[in-house]
Formats: sequence, C-alpha cells, structure tokens
Amino acid sequence: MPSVIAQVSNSSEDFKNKLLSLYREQLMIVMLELRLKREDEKESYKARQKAKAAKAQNSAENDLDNEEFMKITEVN
Amino acid sequence: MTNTQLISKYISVQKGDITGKCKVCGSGTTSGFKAKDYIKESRFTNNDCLKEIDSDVICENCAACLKDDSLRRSSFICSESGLVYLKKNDIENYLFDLDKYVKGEFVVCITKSFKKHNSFRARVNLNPHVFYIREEDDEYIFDSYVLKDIYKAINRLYLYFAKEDIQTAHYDTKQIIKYGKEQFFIDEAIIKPFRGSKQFELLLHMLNSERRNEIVKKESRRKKKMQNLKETAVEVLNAVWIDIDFESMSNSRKLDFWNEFTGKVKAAANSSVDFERFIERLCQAL
Repeated sequence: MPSVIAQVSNSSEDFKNKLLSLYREQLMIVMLELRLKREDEKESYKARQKAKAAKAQNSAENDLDNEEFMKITEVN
Repeated sequence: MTNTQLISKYISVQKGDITGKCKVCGSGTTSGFKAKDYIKESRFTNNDCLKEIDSDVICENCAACLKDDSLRRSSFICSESGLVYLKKNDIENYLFDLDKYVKGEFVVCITKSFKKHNSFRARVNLNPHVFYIREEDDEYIFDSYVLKDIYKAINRLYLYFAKEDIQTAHYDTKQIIKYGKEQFFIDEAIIKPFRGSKQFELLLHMLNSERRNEIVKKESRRKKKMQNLKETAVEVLNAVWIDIDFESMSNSRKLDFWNEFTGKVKAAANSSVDFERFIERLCQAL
C-alpha cells in the first residue's frame, strides 16, 4: 500500500470523513489539481530524460575524441 | 427634563443654597452654587452651549455633571433605565439596539479624547432608532435604520482592509481581489456616500478589532486545514494513479481515461461509508 494511503488510514476518523466528503463535494477541483500534478510530473520526467540523453551523447563524443587521440598518438 | 437633570439622577449631587436661573441649562433653582466655582472663564470654551450666559448661578444638577470626572472620561448612555458607561466594544450593541437599553428620554454621549465635557451639551432624545449623539464638540444624528447596513458593509471590509484604508478609500488591489471584486464594489458603493461624515467616523471608531482578529485567525486556520485536506486528497488519488497499469491498456481506453477515472472516483466516494472502503472500491473498479 502506498505510504500516503497508509498515513491517511492511520489518521483520525474525522479527517478521513472530511476527505471522503471532499471527494463527494469538490471532486472536480481535486481532479483538476491531480491533473496539474500529473502534467508537472510528466514535464519533469521528460526534462530528466532529455538531460540524461544529452549527458549520454556528451560522454559518447568524449569517448570518440579519446579514441581518435589514441590513434593519433599511436601513429606518432 | 434637561440633560443634566436626567444624568444627575445617577451620580452624586450636592445641594447648594443659591437661588436663580442656571447659567448652563437655564432652569430655575433654589439650591444652586456660584457658577464661577464650576466654570473657570479662563479655561471654559463652550460658551455657545450656555443657556443663561449672564447668570452667576449654576444648578445642583449641572454642577454635579461638571464635577463628575467619569462623565468626561467615558462614553455613556443615560435614560430612565439608568446611566450606562460604554466600553469601546460595547458601543455597537447599544447604538443599534438602543430600544432594549433605554426607557423614555435619553442622552447618548461619545468621547474619543476622554477629557472633554459631554454631559451638559447632550441633547435629550425620545426616539431610540433615530437620535442625536453628542461627541465632544460635535453633535450629529444617528439613524440606526440607515447606518446598520453601512456598518455591516464596513465590518465585511474590515476583515480584509485596515481602518485607514476604509477611511481614505486607499485600498490595496491584492486585497480587493482576495475580497472578491464584485462584493467589494457593492460594499464600497454602500459606504461611499457617508465617507468623511461624523457618523462614518463613529462607525469606524466602534469597529471591534478583537472580534475581527479572531475571525481572521479562524478563517486562516480553516483555509490552512482545507488546503492540507485538499493536498492529501490529491496525493491519495495520485498514489492510486501511479499504480495503474497503462502499458497493457488499449489506446482507445487511454484516450478517455481521465473521464473514466473521475467517474470511478465519484462512484467509489458516493457508495463508500469510510475511507478504507473507498480505496478498496476504487482499486477494484480500476
């Protein structure tokens, strides 16, 4: 069970009831917030992937340079 | 009955032995005092309020009122029902429901300097809904029917703006947005015609800051709690969302999945009596 659900399960009955009535009465607002949160997470995931790809490319370029450098030094 | 005759019923009155017409209220007396013992001409500036300016006599009632320091240092209401000294936070209750507190003739005196004489200058009133207030050097009509709505509007504004902002109409734009633009323009239109009047100043003076602070604190606590509740609600659904297996889901279902998810949360919330059952039903439905 995810920790947030476990935490809520362990909180007071009053809090849980309020949470349930929030889902009943203001679900659209909660869903909107959730959607924004998911969008944010998606964006940050994309940004992380992009950064990772860029890093991988940089290191490949560096490898190539080293190889060529070795070749040059071997010839010499 | 004169103002000082009304008030002196409830304060200590000493009797003198001088006969004549009272310099202050103009009524005849057989137990008065020498006026110069009570009215020092060098310091007395309210000559316009004296009814018999040439008289040397002051009646026992006016003398008692002039001598009584509490009458200068407090706001008060006096009628057949008694003399009531008002604390600042009491003023609103008394002025808007005066019929509950006064009987017959009455006077209403407000002080802001806590040193100027009000008692002998107060006008005797009969109508507890529309009456004259003596406020030191000023006298004005207090129409409780009209001013009640203005006071309500000022009280609403006071939850978001300082007294000075309301007094000068120099409002903070951010606060206007928090207050709600529509309601702000409605309330501002209500109070605008009265801004600058003595009545308006009195309404600002009698605003209850302790009550206001209490309401503001309560509201901010409620908002904080609500925010926390909302954040938790989002976190719970997010935790459920993360566990959904999207890889094995068909593309057509994916397209409309937000609506499906919303519908299932709604159904689970409406059909569950407690939180645990809500989570169970939601997970089963997904």
